[in-house]
Amino acid sequence: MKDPRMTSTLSDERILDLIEAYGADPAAFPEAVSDAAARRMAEAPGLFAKALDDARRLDQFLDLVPETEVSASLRDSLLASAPKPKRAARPEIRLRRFLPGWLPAGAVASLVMGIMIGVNVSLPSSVASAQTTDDADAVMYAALGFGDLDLMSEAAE
Amino acid sequence: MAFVSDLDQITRAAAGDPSAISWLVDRYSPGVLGLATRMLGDRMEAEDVTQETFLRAWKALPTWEPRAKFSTWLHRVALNLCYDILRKKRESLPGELPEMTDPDPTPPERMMQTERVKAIEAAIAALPERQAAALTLCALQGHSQVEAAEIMETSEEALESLLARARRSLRVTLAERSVA
Repeated sequence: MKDPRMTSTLSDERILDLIEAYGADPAAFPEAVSDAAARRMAEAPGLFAKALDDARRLDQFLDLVPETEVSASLRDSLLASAPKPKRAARPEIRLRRFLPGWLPAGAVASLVMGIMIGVNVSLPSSVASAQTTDDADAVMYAALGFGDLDLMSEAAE
Repeated sequence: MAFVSDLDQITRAAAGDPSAISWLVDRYSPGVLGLATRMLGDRMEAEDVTQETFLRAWKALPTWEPRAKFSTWLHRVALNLCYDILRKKRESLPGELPEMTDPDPTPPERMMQTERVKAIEAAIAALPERQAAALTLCALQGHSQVEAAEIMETSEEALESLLARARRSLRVTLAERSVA
């Protein structure tokens, strides 16, 4: 955006200030004033000759300053500190596509069957043959060590 | 070649894309290192600043919001790290002025270009830090006035004043040393 302060009237003093700050090349001046300053400098070269001469000499020295080169070791360490690529999907997940679709259902069925068999095997016959829920509860309670062991023995007979 | 914006590269670099990371390093590390070298006058310290600057950049990438140009943000981080180092140096060596390399006393007409470069580098390093930063950003690295002011978190008017004072000081110093 143009700076209205500067584009409307660009005084010679202002141009001298610009040369003092930015050097002899109007292209280095702020964009809003560089064209107008270049025009004015071309119109009245004598007005700015001394300032331009001083500035140009310093510009030439500044141009001698070489660009700083990044060493290979610094570059390598900058790259090494960078984010790492996100990990690819784990191979186990990819294996899933080769497994049969019925496998989960089969696993669930096996689990249910296992539980049923386990319950039947682990229940003492006294419990299995108990006539009432209360009898069964009493036997189980005694088996856990909280009740009357005689009752359990009696029930087992 | 297709135009690839900083933002594209930042997005890809945040995901760990090696080519985008290389692109950011190659594009911006010379400027960051150059700024730190001019500010600190010490290559090793300047490399440390460059590494720390990029470490902070990598951390910032995943949540990067383009409120400022990446280049501006990066140079600002580097500059603030340099200010921290310079402040610690001042605190540890109270009253000590920056050391100037004494250039070869040979007459200017015989002074080799490398000696002139050394003299101007020493003169820049001896400038007050904000003047050195302004001069490095604008005159040596070609940042626009607007960019340099943003990096230095100052107004464009203040930047211009810093530049004018820096150039005046340099002219005086170099004239005293028969370089300019």
